[in-house]
Amino acid sequence: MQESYLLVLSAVSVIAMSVLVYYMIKAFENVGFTFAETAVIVFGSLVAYFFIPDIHLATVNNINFAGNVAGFLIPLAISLRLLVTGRAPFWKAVGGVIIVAYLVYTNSEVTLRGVLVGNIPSIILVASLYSLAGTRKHEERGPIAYISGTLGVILGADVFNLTKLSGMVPHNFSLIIGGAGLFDAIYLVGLFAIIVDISFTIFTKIYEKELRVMKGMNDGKVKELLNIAQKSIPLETRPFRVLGDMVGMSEKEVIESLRKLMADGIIRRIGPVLNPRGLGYESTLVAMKVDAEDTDRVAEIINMFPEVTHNYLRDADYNIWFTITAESRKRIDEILRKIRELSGYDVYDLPARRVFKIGVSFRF
Amino acid sequence: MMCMICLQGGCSKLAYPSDFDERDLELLKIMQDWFPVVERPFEEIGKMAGMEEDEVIERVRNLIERGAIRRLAVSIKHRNAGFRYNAMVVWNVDDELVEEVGKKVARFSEVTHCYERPRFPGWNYNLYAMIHGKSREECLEIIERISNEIGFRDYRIVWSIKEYKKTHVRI
Repeated sequence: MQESYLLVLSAVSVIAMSVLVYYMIKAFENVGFTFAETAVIVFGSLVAYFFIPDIHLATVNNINFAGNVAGFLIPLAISLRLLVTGRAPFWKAVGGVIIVAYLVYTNSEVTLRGVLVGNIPSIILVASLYSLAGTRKHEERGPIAYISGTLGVILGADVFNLTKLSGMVPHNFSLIIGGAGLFDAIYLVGLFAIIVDISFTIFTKIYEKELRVMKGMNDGKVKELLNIAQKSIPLETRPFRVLGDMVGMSEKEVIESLRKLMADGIIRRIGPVLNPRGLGYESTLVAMKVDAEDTDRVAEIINMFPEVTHNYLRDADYNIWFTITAESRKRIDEILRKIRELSGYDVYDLPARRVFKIGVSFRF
Repeated sequence: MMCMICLQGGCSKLAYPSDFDERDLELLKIMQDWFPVVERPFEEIGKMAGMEEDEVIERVRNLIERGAIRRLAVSIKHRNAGFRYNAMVVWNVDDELVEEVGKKVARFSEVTHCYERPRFPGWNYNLYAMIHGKSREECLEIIERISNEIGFRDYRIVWSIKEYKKTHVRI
């Protein structure tokens, strides 16, 4: 018993993790990183940080230079790869590196424990904003931000401070570049510059979509088109040309506007609105008084019947109101009996005595 | 002949208007789920139904004339189109005046549905109208105008809190 519970739990976690990883990879892809690069930046660094020791690089003037794999070698390798494969325009990347390097240098403090870089959030923001301002292509944003952040920190913190550092440290001192690994400025600035780019890209996509909807709705001709098309689509061989003539749009514009309004979720559907009475159907409105904590359960019971077309929770003591359209009065009675039985509440059947208006049409 | 509901022949459970034929049903079944937004939509539907474009248009025209279809039109998702507020207003109107008052209420463009329905215990209202607006205030202002116009002030506004289901009638 205990075991199967654990099995289900781990299966669920694995699925949840996979979904998270999937979306993360998609997000990185969107700002210009391949699957392999994303894997190395995120997971490769994690593995390297815990399992791979620092690598000795060189000894110059009695100072031993070493590199941390997660904090220096991986970021350097990825940056160079992005530069060499041309996914970041070379001079734009160089510009970003210089700006970030200068900012890091002015915010750095040389100590015997190494170079401390302050103001990391601002540095991340600068690398990211530079990439966003520097290119309109979203697949170039990530590489520019990453190279600017990573190489900028390496230059500004370590390379520019080299003379100061070598004058300070004792003989045989070991200087580890990227020594803090996952917590080193080199790794952090590169990674978070990408994340800021991703957030900005997602945000602007949502915003652009809203803007399109609003622009569509503000266009007087489109509003007029919606007002007319809600009443009827002309029964002609070229109905959209006829609609266009009525509102002063071309056939192509009408078709494009309608498609956009459907994609944006303003139009629910286009098609015949069936007349239940004309088809010999019966319909009714039903009211119920249901305990507040019970409404969702009762609504589920009601919604089981395909003949229920509308169902609302409303703010009155009679709080559930739904409509039924069915093939016969007998079928309506049967549905009501079942709902009464399954829910345990009484139903008030209110068939229309007279119909004064049915014609859902919204004025834009 | 085919049954309008189960779409099978020889079904005894319901009466369907006798002048429908299977081709009408086939057409309705296609069109209730699909209306292509292209230059010649009826031609496309015809290809699907195995009919000429002219026949599709003629049959739809006929179905509208005979009252099986209310209209061929665009339906709006009112919540996405900015009509977020949906009020059901119920009035207590003298029974002998309902006909006249109902027609007056129906004339307001903001009213989408208007019916007379029976009263029931604890609910002494008999005229129902559905009103959609972009704000609560807009709805209240319309309801105030309607009530002044018809001269019946015993009414109640019932707002929708949650939409559990909203579909169109299907065959």
